[in-house]
Amino acid sequence: MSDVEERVKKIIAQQFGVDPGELREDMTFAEDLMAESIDIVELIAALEEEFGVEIPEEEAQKNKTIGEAIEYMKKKLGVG
Amino acid sequence: MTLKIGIDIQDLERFRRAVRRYGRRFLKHILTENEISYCMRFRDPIPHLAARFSGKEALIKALGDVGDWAPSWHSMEIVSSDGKPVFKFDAKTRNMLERLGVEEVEVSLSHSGRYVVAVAIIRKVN
Repeated sequence: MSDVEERVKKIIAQQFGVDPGELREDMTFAEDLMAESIDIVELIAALEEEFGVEIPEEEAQKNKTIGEAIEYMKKKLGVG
Repeated sequence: MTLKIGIDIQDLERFRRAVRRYGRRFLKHILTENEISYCMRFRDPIPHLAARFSGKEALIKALGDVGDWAPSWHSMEIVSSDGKPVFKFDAKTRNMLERLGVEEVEVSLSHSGRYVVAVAIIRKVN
């Protein structure tokens, strides 16, 4: 597991109160993690803080699964 | 004519924790600068901030599935007009709402104890 992947999963796990090991990349925020809008906003703020980047709402909305969020962050950081 | 309704509820303590933890980093995603500065004038801005977020969520629910487009939290703002909350939209969102046949949008906000609720009603032409 890459460093970015590990850090993204850790933040997602903290936000939704689950064990990082339980997270699969095909899990969706809306259905599998039962995310409310406020969860997503907090998650975006947490990722911005962790990685020191700005995440525009329009870009964040496109990430429906954990795997998509990991790939988005890798691309954003120019890694992987 | 069709009426569409959307409702939303927010837990103020949950919202307060998020603001305490992330501050403006959290607020700037869901509210415009105009909304944030208006709410910050109050002794406790949290119910005002959360109610505006709730109003936007209620409107999104009232709109339902509108295909690929969805209004972003920054494309709309709730302002106070003679003490009554009203929506203001940016040009793109106004155009999209017109294309969807939306003629009128109403929003009502309320809070009691640890919760805020919002109801949005849309009047559309068929």
